[in-house]
Parts: sequence; C-alpha cells; structure tokens
Amino acid sequence: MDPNGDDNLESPAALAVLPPKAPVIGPGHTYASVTDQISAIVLTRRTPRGWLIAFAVASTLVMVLAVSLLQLLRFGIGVWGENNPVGWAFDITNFVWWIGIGHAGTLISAILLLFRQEWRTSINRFAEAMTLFAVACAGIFPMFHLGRPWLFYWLFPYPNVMSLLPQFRSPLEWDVFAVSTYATVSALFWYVGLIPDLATLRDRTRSGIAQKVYGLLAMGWRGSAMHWHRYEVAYLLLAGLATPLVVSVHTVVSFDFAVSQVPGWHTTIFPPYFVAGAVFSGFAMVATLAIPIRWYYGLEDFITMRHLNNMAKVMLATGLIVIYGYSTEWFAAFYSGNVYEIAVVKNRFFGPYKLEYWALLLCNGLIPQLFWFHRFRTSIPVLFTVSIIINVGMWLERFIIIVTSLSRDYLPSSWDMFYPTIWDWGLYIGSIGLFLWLLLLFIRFLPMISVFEMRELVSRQRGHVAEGPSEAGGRIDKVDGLEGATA
Amino acid sequence: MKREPRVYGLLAEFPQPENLLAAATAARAAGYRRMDAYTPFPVHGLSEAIGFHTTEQEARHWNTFFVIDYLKRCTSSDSSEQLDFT
Repeated sequence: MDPNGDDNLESPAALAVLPPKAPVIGPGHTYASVTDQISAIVLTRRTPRGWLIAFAVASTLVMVLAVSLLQLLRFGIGVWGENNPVGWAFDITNFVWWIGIGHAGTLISAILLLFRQEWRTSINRFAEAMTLFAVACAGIFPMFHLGRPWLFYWLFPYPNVMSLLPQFRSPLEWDVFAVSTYATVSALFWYVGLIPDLATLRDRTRSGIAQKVYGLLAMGWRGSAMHWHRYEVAYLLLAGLATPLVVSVHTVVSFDFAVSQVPGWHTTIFPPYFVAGAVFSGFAMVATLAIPIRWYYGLEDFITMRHLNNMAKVMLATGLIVIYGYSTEWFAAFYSGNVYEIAVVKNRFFGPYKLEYWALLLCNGLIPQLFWFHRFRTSIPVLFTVSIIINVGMWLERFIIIVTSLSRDYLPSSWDMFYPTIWDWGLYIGSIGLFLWLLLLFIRFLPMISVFEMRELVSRQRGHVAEGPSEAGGRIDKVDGLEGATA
Repeated sequence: MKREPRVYGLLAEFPQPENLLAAATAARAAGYRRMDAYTPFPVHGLSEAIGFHTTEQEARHWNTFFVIDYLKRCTSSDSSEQLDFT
C-alpha cells in the first residue's frame, strides 16, 4: 500500500487504515500569503543573481542558435550531416522531441482539469508555458528544413495566383495543421488562465509602466461574479478543445513515419506509442524544471512532495507503455516474418547504432523502474537525475527510430551512415537555449504558479479542516450618494 | 441644515466565500436585482446567487460562440437587428 495514501480505496475499513492524503499546499497559508509569496517573485524581489547567471547562459545558447540558423540559411541544408539515405536526422528528431515535451503541459492543464485532479493547480501554469515554448522550439526545425523557410506559408492552403494547393495526402501537411492548431489552442489556454493573475499584478505593482502593461493584458478584469462565470465557461471550453489535441498531435506526428513504407516505420503501434512517449518525456521535463525552480524560489509549500510523487507515477505508467511499444515492435517484426522488419530489429540491437539503442533501453526501460519504490519517488536527487535520464532516453528513441531505419533500408548498395556536424549540435543545443531563455523570462515577468487557483485551494483546504472564522456577517458600509458627499 | 444623504448603494465585505454566498442569496430573495460580487477566486454558485446566470443569457453565449448570432443579424429582415458599420 502506498504510504502517502494516493490510492483511492473505497471500503471504509481501508479508509480508516489509510493516513489522510498528503496536502497539495503547505500548511498555514492564507489568501494573502499565497498571493504575496507568488506575486513577490515578479514584483518586489530584486532580480536574483542565480536568475541573471542562468539568463546569461541561456542567452549565450540563443546566440549559438542564431549563428547555426544563419549558417544554415547562408549555405543550405548541406551544413548538416544528412546524406542521401538519411534525409531526416537531427531536425526531425528534435522536432518530435520538443513536440513530445509540450504534451505534458496540455495533459496537466486540460485532461487533469476535466478529471478534477486538485494537485495539477500549482504546476499547470508553468507546464503550459513549457508547452508553448517547446512548440516554438519544435517549429524551428521543420520550417528550416524546408530549405527555403521564407516560403513556409506555401504549406497553408491559401488562395494564390499560382493556383497551387499543398499536397493533402502527405502526413507532413497534416503536421502543419496539427501543430499550428496545437500552438494556437495552447497559447489561448495559457493566456486565458493568466488573465485573473495579470489583474492581481496590475493591482499590486508600484511601477507605472508595469501597471499599464499588466493592465492592458488583464483586459479590465475586476473579479466580478459575472467575470468568473464567463471565465469558467471559456476555460472549460478551451480545456475541451485542448483535450483531443493531447492525443491527436503526436498521433499525426507519428503518421510522418507510420504512413511511409520504410521498414521500422511502417507500423500501427506508432500513434499510441508516440503519445505515451510524449507524455513520458513531457512529465520528465516538468520534473527537471520544477525541482530546481521550487528549490531556488522556496516554493516547497506549493509544489509539494505529493506533486513530485504523482509526476513520478505518471512517468512510471507511461514508461511502461513505451516499453510495451518497443516489445510490440520486436514481436511484430519476427511474427510478420518480413525479412526487412527482422533486419531492422537486428540492426538496432547489433548494428552500427547499437550503442545508442542499448543506451535508450537503459534510459527509458530500466532506470525509470526505480519509480516503483516510494523511497525513490520522494527523493529529490533521484527524481531529478532520472527525469534528465528520461529526457536523454526519449531523444535517443527518436534518433534511433529515424536514423537507423533510414540508414539501412531495402537496398544495401544505398546504405550510408549519418554523422552529425557541429551545426546539427549547434541547432539542437541552441533550441534548448531558446527554451530556457523564454522560460526564464516567463518566471521573471509572470506569475509561474496560478495565484487565484492557489487561493481557491486555500479556501477548499479551510473547508477540509473546518475551522472557518466564527463571525458570519461582515462589515457593511453605506456608500453615500454624490450629493451626500458634498453635504 | 444637514439632511440625511440619499443611499446610493451598499457595500459589504465578507471574510469567507460561504458568507458572501449566503448574503448574495439573501439579498436576491429580499428583492435586490442590481448587484455584483467581487471575489479573488471563482466561488461556485455566486453568479446564480446574484441572478446573473439565466437560460436566455446562456443561450446567447452559445449563439455568440458559434457566430450564429452574427449570421442571424446579417440575414434578419428587421433593420434594427442588422449590423450597421457606417
């Protein structure tokens, strides 16, 4: 039995034995204290030294990205290590990796909202921001892989004098719609969720310019019952819109491979296995970012051990689905009797990329099994390390899928190896820099935890404890009419 | 001569959402209609308590959401319903 009591056992006897659920917010918090503590990070505290150092590092990496992109634009795709059989490599690997990372944000904010999982509230804002920035990083890769990225709008079916329409039978075209829808809905969801908190910042800031900017973005939010009513309808509708996207976006991304006839790609397991892998890597990224941030900003009361424990459980569950996906690939290859499919599996285990493949199995298969144990799920160093290992493993997974299949397909005379160049690495590391850069700006200028949802949690927890203040009434003031004021 | 000022409105502050909800329900029962309630987080049932949430308004939301309202106005024979951009 889980000592932390997250199991929902229904029998009263079991409930009597179980200790009460670990709280999702630290003890002793009031409406004012949560507001103060979260908004102070943005408003009153000076920019901390650690933030400045991190921002300097991230900015350097953004410059690496800029240089890599300029190099790419100047000399073309040839600066990458791609060759004739391996026409896709780091770019699509990174694209799938980033899109996958974004999925945790949507899962946390939309699906857990619909399932009324209270523990989502303190990590949702931050995970949604992560989604948005991950999609931005993902977008770079296919767009620059076009060769002439300035003509990217040709991908959209817009009316043009050339009477051209995109190729709708290509899954890459489906990607355009899947990812642009995803980016739009994620951005809307994030912004709508921010509006009440932007109003809080507007009301609390002492700087005139910040007041104007936050005020403009808060769109006249006053916290009236009417506002909340409309807000909740809008938020629920957006959650409903975002929910199918959690499944659909990575499904469409997996079609890029599954619809083709390359051995190792042409499988029906890809869509569910990609979606599970996306949630797996996304939660790993949330944990990787949440752990240092909660430590640095002292947010242990808001992002509690229960959150980290739950995230570890999600990683364990989705990790097992990913392992199931790998086993299905092996089984299907041998069961089909298809020589090419069998060759792909053998090639992955014992071929030239075997090191990467075994590393991937270690990172995604073996190491996450530590999360079966409560001791490791609640140990910060283990959680942090394993989450980074999972991120590496998921990147390797995409690399293996893409590169091993392409480097050795049907015709041995056309086989070739892929070796990344410095510009491949520059672009990849640069995109991580861009992600961190955007995330750091977000942490500095916007509340990284939803303030009003934390107030709501305080209110609900007060209900659980049942120690509300005794006075039932309140202060009643007469507001005098204008003529009264002058009299 | 000092006269009693005319009452323009009443403001009340409540420490907890349940108190506010009870007061809003009571005020509506007492016949007050032009009310609003401001809270730092959503309080369930508050908009109903002050009488904001009605089926007619709800229907209008949905119409607006699906742009049906716009289309209805465009095709309406009643000139007062039509959108005037001049």
